[in-house]
Amino acid sequence: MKILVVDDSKVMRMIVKRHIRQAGFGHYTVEQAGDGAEALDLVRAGAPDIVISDWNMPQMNGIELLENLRAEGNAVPFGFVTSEGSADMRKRAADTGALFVITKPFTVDHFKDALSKVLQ
Amino acid sequence: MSDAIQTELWLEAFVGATKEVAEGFLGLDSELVTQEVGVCQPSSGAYIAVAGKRSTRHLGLVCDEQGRQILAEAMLCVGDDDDPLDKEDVTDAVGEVMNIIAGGIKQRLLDRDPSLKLGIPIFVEGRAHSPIHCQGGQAEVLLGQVAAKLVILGTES
Repeated sequence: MKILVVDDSKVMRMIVKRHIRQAGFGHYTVEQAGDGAEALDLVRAGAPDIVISDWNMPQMNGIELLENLRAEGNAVPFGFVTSEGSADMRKRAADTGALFVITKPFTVDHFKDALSKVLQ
Repeated sequence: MSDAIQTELWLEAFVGATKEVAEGFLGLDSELVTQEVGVCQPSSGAYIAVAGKRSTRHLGLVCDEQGRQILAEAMLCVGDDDDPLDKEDVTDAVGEVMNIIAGGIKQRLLDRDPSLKLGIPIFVEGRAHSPIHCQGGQAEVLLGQVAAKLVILGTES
């Protein structure tokens, strides 16, 4: 059982990982990627149960990562954790296939609510 | 008449978003000390661009090395028994704090410019120089015990 966390900030990946554990999903292995391109390779290689991604990243941003996955026919559950939560972005995220957008700063309850609909 | 977002509004949004992040996320009290348009002293800190069709600004969270350490430790909930963070983690963390603040600034200004988008935060070491035609501003704040400057660089379209 695996969760892939994608963010160009190592610190933010640590914080997301901690929130995942505190939300009750500590039994999942958390894999990490520093940008969308690295994440795409990891998803292709390892089939995570969910991808949790930042939006703004170098190399390949989060929405580009999701678009690429869906274009390949990969239906991996996907959610965003981002500092930008505008209505336009949420619509674009949903239209592209994201299940949720968690806006920074976030709480453990945000992760509990989002992940409990997708994971065991 | 330009419909660009005036520097005063950027500054107001910056102060408000910083207060929200400091108190709600970092667990630090925040206090506005001074606020001034036309004064801008960019130096070492985390910067991010917020760009739109009507206004573009570079926003900076500036404080000394000890202040950055305190902010980073607050963000990561580092306790007295934990190992201190290394410099790379500190600059990463302060960059993320600026990123989160910028998200709050964008939310506050979206009704004035729906095209606003955030860049990727960077950390600048040293003193930045802004051209004389830049219309800047800055606010001095206290975030817990950290004396910080919120710096705005940029031009009105």
